[in-house]
Amino acid sequence: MSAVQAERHPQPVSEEVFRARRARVGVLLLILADAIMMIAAFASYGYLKALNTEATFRPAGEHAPSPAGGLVVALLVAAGAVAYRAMVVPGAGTREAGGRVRGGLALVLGLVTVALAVQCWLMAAGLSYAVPVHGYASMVILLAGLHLVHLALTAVATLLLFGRTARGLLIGRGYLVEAAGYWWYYVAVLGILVWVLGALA
Amino acid sequence: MTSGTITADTARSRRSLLFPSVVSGLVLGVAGGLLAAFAVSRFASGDRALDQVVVAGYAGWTLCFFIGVGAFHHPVRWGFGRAEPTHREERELAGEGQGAWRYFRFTTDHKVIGIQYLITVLVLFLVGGLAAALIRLEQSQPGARFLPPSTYNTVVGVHGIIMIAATIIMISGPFGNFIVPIAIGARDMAFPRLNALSYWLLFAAIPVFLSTFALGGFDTGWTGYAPLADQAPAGMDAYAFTIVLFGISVAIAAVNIITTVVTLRAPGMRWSRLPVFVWGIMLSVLLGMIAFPSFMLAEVMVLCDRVAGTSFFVSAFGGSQWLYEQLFWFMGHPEVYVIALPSLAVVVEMVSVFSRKPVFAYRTVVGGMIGIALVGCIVWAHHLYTSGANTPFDGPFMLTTELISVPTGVVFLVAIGTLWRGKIWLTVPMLFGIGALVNFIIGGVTGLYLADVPTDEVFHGGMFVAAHFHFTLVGGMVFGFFGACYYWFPKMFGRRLNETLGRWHFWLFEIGFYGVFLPLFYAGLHGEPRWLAYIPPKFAGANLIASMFFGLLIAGVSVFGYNIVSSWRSGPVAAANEWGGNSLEWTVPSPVPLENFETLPVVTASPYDYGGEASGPEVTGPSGPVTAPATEA
Repeated sequence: MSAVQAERHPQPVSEEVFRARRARVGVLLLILADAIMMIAAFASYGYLKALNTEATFRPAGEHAPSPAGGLVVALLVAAGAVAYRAMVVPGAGTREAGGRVRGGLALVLGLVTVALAVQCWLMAAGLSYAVPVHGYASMVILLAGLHLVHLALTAVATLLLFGRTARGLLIGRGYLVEAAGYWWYYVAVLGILVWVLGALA
Repeated sequence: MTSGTITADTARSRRSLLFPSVVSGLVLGVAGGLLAAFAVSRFASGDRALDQVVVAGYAGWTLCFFIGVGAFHHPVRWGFGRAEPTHREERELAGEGQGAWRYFRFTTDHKVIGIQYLITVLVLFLVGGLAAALIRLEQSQPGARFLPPSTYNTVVGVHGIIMIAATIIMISGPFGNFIVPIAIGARDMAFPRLNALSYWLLFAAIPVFLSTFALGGFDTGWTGYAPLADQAPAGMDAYAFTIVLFGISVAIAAVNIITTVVTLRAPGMRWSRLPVFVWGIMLSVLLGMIAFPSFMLAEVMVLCDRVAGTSFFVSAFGGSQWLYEQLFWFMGHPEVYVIALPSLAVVVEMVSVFSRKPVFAYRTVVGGMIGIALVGCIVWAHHLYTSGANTPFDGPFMLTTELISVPTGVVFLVAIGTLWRGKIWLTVPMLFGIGALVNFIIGGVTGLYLADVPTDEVFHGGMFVAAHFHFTLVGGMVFGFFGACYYWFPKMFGRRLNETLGRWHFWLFEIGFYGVFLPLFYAGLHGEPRWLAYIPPKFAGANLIASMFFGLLIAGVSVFGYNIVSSWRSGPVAAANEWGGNSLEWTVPSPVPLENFETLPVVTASPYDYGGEASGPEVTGPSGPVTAPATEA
């Protein structure tokens, strides 16, 4: 018996269904890959803290990052994720909800831009550790830097979506907004985790 | 308009062929790299200044290379409100009508990218092989005869990391890209632009890595162990930056391949009908996606230590070298299975086709491969037995490391079961497949001694380890790669590789391989340490034999290279179904047209249904007529 039968056959699923499934799976896999790196980063923190080599992981007097600043960033991103879910996702891709989606995207773009600016400021002003930077401070800088990269990527993705929405080119492409939302929620959760780690340390 | 002819008939479209392309990428990349390095040099100071300048240069190179090669064209135009590209524009982006030039552009056709990967892998093997030749030359006699020790260390590191990178992508890059979409009945990858991006990231990493020679090299060996990595010359920045680029490339490729298999299977292509090769590729890239981020993170940390003065790996300031080892080996050991899974899958695929038998216990072999991928994630710490960490987890890791031989054994059992009482057609790919099975068994069995804490204490730092992992990586997996080359070359290039030269390649390589690495097993068992530029006189004999047999490896690879080039230029035209296989790639013409299928296929049975009344044709010989397998009425 042969394996295949080449015959005229319609597309297995509609193009839209395929595109939606592809976007969802792709974004979730990207999040998985990134999450593993972040887990490795958090695990590294725990590992160095547990080893506390020669009791020099965090010398006495080594300051923690500003909890208030970190909280502002975490709240901004969390608010952005909530706004994205509430204002952007419902009705995305439909003509009727176009105004609300545009407004929502403008809002979350503003929120993530402010969060990005605050994170930059925190890193420039608040994380000025003397060289050689000890283990604890090294981990703080690393986690803050990785979060900065996440915020920047989120801002770029939101900007691209906003550019398309503004011209009405996402009509019928609501799945893109939904898939980008997964990344938003992920970054929001990550922001809270980074802040909690910084605040508890 | 004929294929292979550049269709652009205006000066404007000719310009558009040059920009974007690899030419504009290289020009802009070099300019951007120099500019970034110059800009940072104005502010950099202290003993980290050179590292800061070098890393800025690499960042500038990467960013501007991607602008030049056109990677940002679509996202930027898309974001600024351009309409979705038409089908015609998509075909143009896939290289339609651009002839050979499409291989030098940001082309999205998965077949072009597969061939780009193949050529890159062969070039990497050549560079890594030259480094291996230098190592064997140096080790042919006691004392530093040919290379100063620091250069020798760099050569060992370059050989190691280039070969590891090449073997990681050697099957999933060329054949994963070229074959997988066709084998599942798709017209292309799920994300064609990401596919091109993953290749060009790899391409961009190569000049970065080779620049290490101009920056003092790196004396850490291929593992890049810290804290030596923190103290090494600026060439270490090249190593670390390369790994970051490579890690991103691997992650993007994994996302793409998995999404393709999950979402783009043809109607009727159930999971239970997926070719074993596709399973192998998918599990391999999934494992890579899980394993690689930790290594990438480790190299980001190394760069931070070197550029910004952090202390992730400096014990005096609260860091730890064990952190590097943990992060490295969390990638380093699964990586062996990242390489092994596609290779074993190719072997199972070929064994079924050339035995004219269904895969023996299909579900079992898939289960075995899933088992390898799962257990592969929890074996890494056996590399740390002798690190001094002395963790309470040595026992459990010994157990898991030994446990992984069970699913691996299952895959072997299935391959042997498929051969059993088969109507074996001993083609060149089949020779390499059987060679891979035999060699990998030796590599696997010798690995057991390194899984056990007591024996590993003795062998760990010795040449026994080097011989073991070469038997695994080269004897097992590179043989699988060679087999895949001979098996799919006719599909990829529409030409047949020379059978006689193929057999010469096999025997020269097989004999040469045993001649090189069996003496090294012997030397290792008698205590020869690895990582030594100066070999002690008592091991001179074994090393001299190994170095002499290396000549056979060079001869074998030369025959292979000649065979590829001559067959590609003037080999006999291949049939569409060269081997009488039943999987989907053998139902399309060779070379495969753009978008693969005129009409999407409907899969009605397993790809391994040989032996029934309506089975594929009897194959009369390596060059005999082979027709397409019978199709259901």
